[in-house]
Amino acid sequence: MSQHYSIKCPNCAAPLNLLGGGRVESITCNYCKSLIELGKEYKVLSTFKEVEIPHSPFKIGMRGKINEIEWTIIGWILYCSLDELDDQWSEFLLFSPLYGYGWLIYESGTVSFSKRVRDFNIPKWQMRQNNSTVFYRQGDYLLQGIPYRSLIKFVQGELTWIAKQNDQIECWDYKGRKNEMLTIEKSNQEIEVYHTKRLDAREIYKSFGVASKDQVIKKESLKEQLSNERLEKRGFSFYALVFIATILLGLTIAPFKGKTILKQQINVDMTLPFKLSNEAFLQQITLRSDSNQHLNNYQISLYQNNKELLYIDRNRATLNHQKFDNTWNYRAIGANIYLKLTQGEYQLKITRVDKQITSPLTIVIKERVIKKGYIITLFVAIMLLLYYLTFKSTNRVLLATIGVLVAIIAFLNKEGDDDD
Amino acid sequence: MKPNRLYADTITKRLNCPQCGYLLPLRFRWTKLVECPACKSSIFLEDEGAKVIGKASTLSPEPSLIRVHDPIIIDRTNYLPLGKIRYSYGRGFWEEWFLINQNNQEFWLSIDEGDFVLERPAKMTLPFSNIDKLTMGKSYGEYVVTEIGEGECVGFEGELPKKITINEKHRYVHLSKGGASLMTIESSKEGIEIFKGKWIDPFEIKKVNG
Repeated sequence: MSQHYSIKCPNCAAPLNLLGGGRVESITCNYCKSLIELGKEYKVLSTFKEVEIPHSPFKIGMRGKINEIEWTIIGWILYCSLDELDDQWSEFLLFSPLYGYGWLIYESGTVSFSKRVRDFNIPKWQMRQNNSTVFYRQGDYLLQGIPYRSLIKFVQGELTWIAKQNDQIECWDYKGRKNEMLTIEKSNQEIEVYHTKRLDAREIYKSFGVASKDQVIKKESLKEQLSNERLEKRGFSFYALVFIATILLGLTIAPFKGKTILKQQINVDMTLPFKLSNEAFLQQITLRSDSNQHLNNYQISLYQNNKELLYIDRNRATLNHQKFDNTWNYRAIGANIYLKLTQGEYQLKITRVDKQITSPLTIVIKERVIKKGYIITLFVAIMLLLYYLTFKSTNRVLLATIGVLVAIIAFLNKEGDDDD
Repeated sequence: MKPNRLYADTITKRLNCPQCGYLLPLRFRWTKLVECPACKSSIFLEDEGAKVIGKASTLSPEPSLIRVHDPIIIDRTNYLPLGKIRYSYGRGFWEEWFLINQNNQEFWLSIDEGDFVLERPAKMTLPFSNIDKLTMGKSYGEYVVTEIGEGECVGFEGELPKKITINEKHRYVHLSKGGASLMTIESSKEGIEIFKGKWIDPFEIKKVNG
């Protein structure tokens, strides 16, 4: 905030109005092109005299509204790309007593508004400078091409720093949705981040009083239109990801919980016949008791055509008379047994070791079952793949860590299923 | 202007200006300094009463998004501006607005040419008493010094929770830990104060009363 005042150019004595607030540090004389430092001595630091001034629809002193806020153009910098010197654009420094400083960017008929942002995490960006995606205020921005160097060709009017001819800035442009862009600028002094939004050139020309003959409107090529459409559509990617995740979660959990074909509570020795009509995925026999002692009192045998397929009790388990490693844990009060059976009729024989114990055992038999661990692993793997395909940029260490965690969860789930 | 009902409970003092008898518009329990709207006296509030410590330096009217007693919303929280201090740095100035939220807590909104920082006093002890020991660009824990500056107090308006001295030098250091988070260390004759807060987007400040 400041009062407006005027000075005389120390080189040519031309009157120079200062419109731009207390942070203005230099002014370039409109008449003799001298760059004057606005310190105590008003020193002439250099001159832009030999530079040909390009045509531009905007002039210093013009006032207009951008998004209902009035701005005054107080300075002008002409930049060019160090790689392509013909590729040049103008940045006009704007000042508002209420909102401070902003930039009106003009390039071959396109007009954008840019403002410095302070809440972008620069140290985090510096650590991951190679990432093609950055996130800012719930939006994602994709790196456009490679970082480039821009060069100051010409300066006019007031600036909040001392900009000299041929000063260089390294720039990273990240394109977001709705014609928004995030630009990270690195100079010798500091790193600054700007949020830029493209504006309707006609509206801005009208608001700033640009004469009709000076108005240039850029017509977008088909390629640019398609590129913008693609970026607009990318805006739905996050929501699409959430949507797909929800559907996948439903799809993975709902059908694979299996179909119950037998559920019975018993407390005596008994043979339970059941019929498998679908041999897809696995079959699950669940045993539930009220204590580990009671579960350990039961012996379970599975028969088909009077041939024993499975035998399991607390001490041993056999499948087709072949012993396999684990049975349920001594402390377990329940167990899940997963089998791969063919369609047909079966008998489940339950006998008690100690006939005096009559505590109940609940038996549930399901067909078409997938183990929880496999579902979670599959779901997380699909989500990681979708995330990677959407954003094309994921920290590989993070991805590997998540992968390892998923594997551990799946392993623990497997153990849980077996020992339950 | 009618008192805002949201903050009505915060009025705990009823004092008249010792100079002209005008009922002082006090809204904050811990106010130390208030400007009499009628005679423009600076009144220092003590435990027993109030005393005039001089004529307030009238601040030139400048356009601002914030006005005393005109509540604002930042990040869905209501704040009531009660006063401001203006500091000059030569060609320009910045202002520190004293705000309270609905829980009657003290906040400060610093406005400098479109840069807005909302902070709260932080209870911290520094291992030094002179902020000149801090160096630009140097890291202190997770914070990096991003700005060192100085201003001169040129005046105040409304009510303040601390005493200020006109023409007194006021030094500050901004420390950032990335993103919007910010810590400010201020040094004046009264001592060192520490504030913690964040940068605010001025476009996101809304007026409660439209």
